[in-house]
Amino acid sequence: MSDDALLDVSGLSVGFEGFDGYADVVGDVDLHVERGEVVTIVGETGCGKSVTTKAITGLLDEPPAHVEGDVEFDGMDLRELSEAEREDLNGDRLGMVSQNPLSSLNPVFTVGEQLTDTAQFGGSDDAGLLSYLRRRHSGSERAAARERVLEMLREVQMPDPEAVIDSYPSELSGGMRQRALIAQALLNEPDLLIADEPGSALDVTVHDRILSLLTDVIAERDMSVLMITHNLGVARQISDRIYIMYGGRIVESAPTEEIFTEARHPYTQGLIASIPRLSGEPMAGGIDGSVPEYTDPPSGCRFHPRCPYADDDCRSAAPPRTDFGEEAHAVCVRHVDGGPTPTIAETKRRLMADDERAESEVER
Amino acid sequence: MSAPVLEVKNLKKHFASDGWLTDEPPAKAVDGVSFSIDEGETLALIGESGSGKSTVAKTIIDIHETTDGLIRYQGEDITNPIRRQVETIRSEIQLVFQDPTSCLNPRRTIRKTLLVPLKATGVPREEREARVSEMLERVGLTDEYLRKYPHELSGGQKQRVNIARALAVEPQLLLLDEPTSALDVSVQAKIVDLLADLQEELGLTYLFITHDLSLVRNFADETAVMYLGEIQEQGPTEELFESPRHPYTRALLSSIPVTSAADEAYRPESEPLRGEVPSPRDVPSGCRLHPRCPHATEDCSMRQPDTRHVNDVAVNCIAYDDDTDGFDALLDAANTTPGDAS
Amino acid sequence: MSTDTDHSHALDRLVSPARRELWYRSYRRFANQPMSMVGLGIVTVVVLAAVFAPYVAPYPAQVGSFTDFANAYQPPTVAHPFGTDSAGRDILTRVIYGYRISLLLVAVVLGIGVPVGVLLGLVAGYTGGWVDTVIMRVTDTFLALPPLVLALAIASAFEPTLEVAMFAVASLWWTWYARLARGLAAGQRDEEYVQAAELAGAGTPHVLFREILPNCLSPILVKVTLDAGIVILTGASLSFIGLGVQPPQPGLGTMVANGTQYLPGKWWISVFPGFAIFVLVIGFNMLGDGLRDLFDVEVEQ
Repeated sequence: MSDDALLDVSGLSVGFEGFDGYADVVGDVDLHVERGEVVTIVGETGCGKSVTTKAITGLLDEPPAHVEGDVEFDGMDLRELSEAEREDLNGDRLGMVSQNPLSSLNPVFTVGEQLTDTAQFGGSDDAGLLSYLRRRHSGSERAAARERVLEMLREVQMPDPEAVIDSYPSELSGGMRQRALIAQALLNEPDLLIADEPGSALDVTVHDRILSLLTDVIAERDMSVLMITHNLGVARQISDRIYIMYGGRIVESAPTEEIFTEARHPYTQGLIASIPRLSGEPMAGGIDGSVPEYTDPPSGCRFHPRCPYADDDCRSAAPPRTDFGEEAHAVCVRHVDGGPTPTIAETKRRLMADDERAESEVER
Repeated sequence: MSAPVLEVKNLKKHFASDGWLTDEPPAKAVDGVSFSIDEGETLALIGESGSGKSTVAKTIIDIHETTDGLIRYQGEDITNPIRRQVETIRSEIQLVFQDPTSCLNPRRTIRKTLLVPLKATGVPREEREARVSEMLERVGLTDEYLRKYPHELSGGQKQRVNIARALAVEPQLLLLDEPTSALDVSVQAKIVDLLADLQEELGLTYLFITHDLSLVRNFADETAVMYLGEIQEQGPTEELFESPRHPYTRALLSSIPVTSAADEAYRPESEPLRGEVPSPRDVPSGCRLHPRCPHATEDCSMRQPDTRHVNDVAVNCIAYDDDTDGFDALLDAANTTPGDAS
Repeated sequence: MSTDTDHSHALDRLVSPARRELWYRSYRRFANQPMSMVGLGIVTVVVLAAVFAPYVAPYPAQVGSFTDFANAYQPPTVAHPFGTDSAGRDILTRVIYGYRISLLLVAVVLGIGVPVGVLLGLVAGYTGGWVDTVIMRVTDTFLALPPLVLALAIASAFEPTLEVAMFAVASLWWTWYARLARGLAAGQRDEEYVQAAELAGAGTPHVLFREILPNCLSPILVKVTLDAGIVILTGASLSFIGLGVQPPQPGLGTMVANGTQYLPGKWWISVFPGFAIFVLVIGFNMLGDGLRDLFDVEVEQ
């Protein structure tokens, strides 16, 4: 981990006070994004990915949320910033693209009005109402901002940007809305783009186009990106490095290719083995069980109830972190003292054997 | 070869527009679809949203009325069934819905939900409880789930309950409407596995509807690719993956984010489609794909493509050339316009 | 096939798990809202007082045609906390018995109106087509009549008694429930669990009463609670203009009406019965709002 990481999160934990007791959702999260690096957090539904990014961007209401830990962005401690300072940062140096392209645009304003506002006022520390009104109606400044929006719409390959800029969100298709959101996030040339499953709500062909668009603009600007996704294939396509998250803990991290060739954590291995293959290579029968209840999480390693290797050590204590070189680590008791680590093939074999055993039990 | 279990011929389902003041044209959700499934086989119906794939299933099972065409089950015409036939359909054909949550009544326990089909088919009261346990066991759940409410179950467990309910009447044909698309991959694999086991054990016939081509490679015997209410390419799954011919099939395949080099070999070179699926109320002339197709020629917008048969595969494409297994390069070049990439 | 692992509490496996926990959670959520607890408190106290009126009221003998002119027009004292009226009757006693009549009115009106309205609404919403059209047009016709005016007409056409007033109000009240239930049922007709039950072979009665109705109960219950207050007000209004409870029966509205001629000097004669109406109506409203919040949370989850 280098010292000049753009985003450096350490010891982040998030919990929620609810009627069912305290939910300990995210814990011990250390992650960093270097300048010009594209990093994804991969995990299944309910693994705490969205909560993590919301905690980083300060979008969680406290209470009910309890957030602890350090979030450093370009040397600034984000957790210490005032509300106003945060607002200045979000939309200016921090760009965000959310998962749902419909609910992220206000239905009563045209796309142009919303994006031009962002272009004109995003990140401005001048927040007075009067000055807002003056600048909002200053013809030349507004026109310049609008020009910038048009240019950005062209850059995200929006079909017919001149028409789109005066359309309401409901008049656009899902893919076009997603493009408008990406354009909005890029308008103020953010240093870091945080993207929550962009396009995953759309059809596969459109999703694919959105991803390649993102890949292009990221490469062009040499931008730093923190993206979350549930799809390992998407992560492979877009990122330099991957964090795997399970039960609110980061269980493994490695450069992208390494994850697919020598995944070290049994959860990562199980995930990879469960992905359906175009080549027709048989997939393992998935991983038993479901994500933990956060109000009553499993003791020790949170993955142990589903892990094909689990033993008493896994149940009794939280697993230690083992580093593999500069950039990779895994949090699993199997790696302590350089012991024999499970391989993807072995995990797959065990998962399939589990299935057969359970089947014969049922038959009996 | 035995007679097909299900035979669908030129099926059409048009939804008239709501309200009597609008003069909107009807939505042609399904517009001339034909296929058949043999006993114990699986046909995969692939398509994006708006392709009409779910409407096909709901029309077969009489949730929607058929506009035109023919549906035959075991040789019997069950298009817009009369009362007696509805009973046959209900006991022979079942549907598993896409969203495992919304198809379970939140206020009824699993036991009560599973008792419904047993009561309806007249299973004697004293046998019902044993049957319910048996049904749960078949899908890999234990009796402790009987007293639970849906919100206490995970997505995968709920989908198991739904499968159990569909199997309660001992159907022959199961229509699976994206049964795993609401689930995580690690759970999806388990459900697919369960479905494969059940098929083997009970000799079921499946119509498997999904948007995810990668799922069907190992699962379906035949695959049909739908776009805007029509089947564009249909044939043995193996053949379709080895040499996809229709531009839409190729685009679908090339947009799947894969995780290994071996899989990448099955992705045709990126052939992205322009724009998005048009409304089924405003279907393009000629070939329905032509406004989005990278290989479209002028001819494509003028006339409906004929079905051509190449190696057991039926392809509906004008631009595809079966001699060279490619598309006419000259026309391609003429047609590529800059700025069309969206 | 293996079983998905279950992470719920071990304790829950032993005794009737889901329902108990659901009730307990609902209770906790409800108890966290002070307003709804106050509403529940008011309604409970009033209902208990009304049911046990002969044991609770200080002078049960003074309810009806009792006169004690020596004690008439007494301002509030310890012996008569609400004072006495023109005939010397204890107003507190009469208010408690007045509650009895008001709650009886609520029970009869909603007891008839809710089942009738809900049944018609469910059938209309689920069946659709011409059945829906016929039922809803009839409902609309009734809705077009101003309730108080129709009640006035009915009450003045017959004897102006309590029974006629109840019948008059009940004959209109079902319409709101028909509308509510129809909307809820129509919304659920296309729900997948309804379709799934139909595919499983369930008949119409099963679908209506076992699948759809349980999912409509929350909003109906909220409306019942909020309506209870309005029924009380309507009954009191009818009594106030002399078309409901007839003297010497202790109707709250009748008592307010009788007291008006002594205002402002002998204010307690009409103020206390009026205040009694106000408290109970507010109590029902707070309770109803609390229930609505409770169910909204449930829906969100």
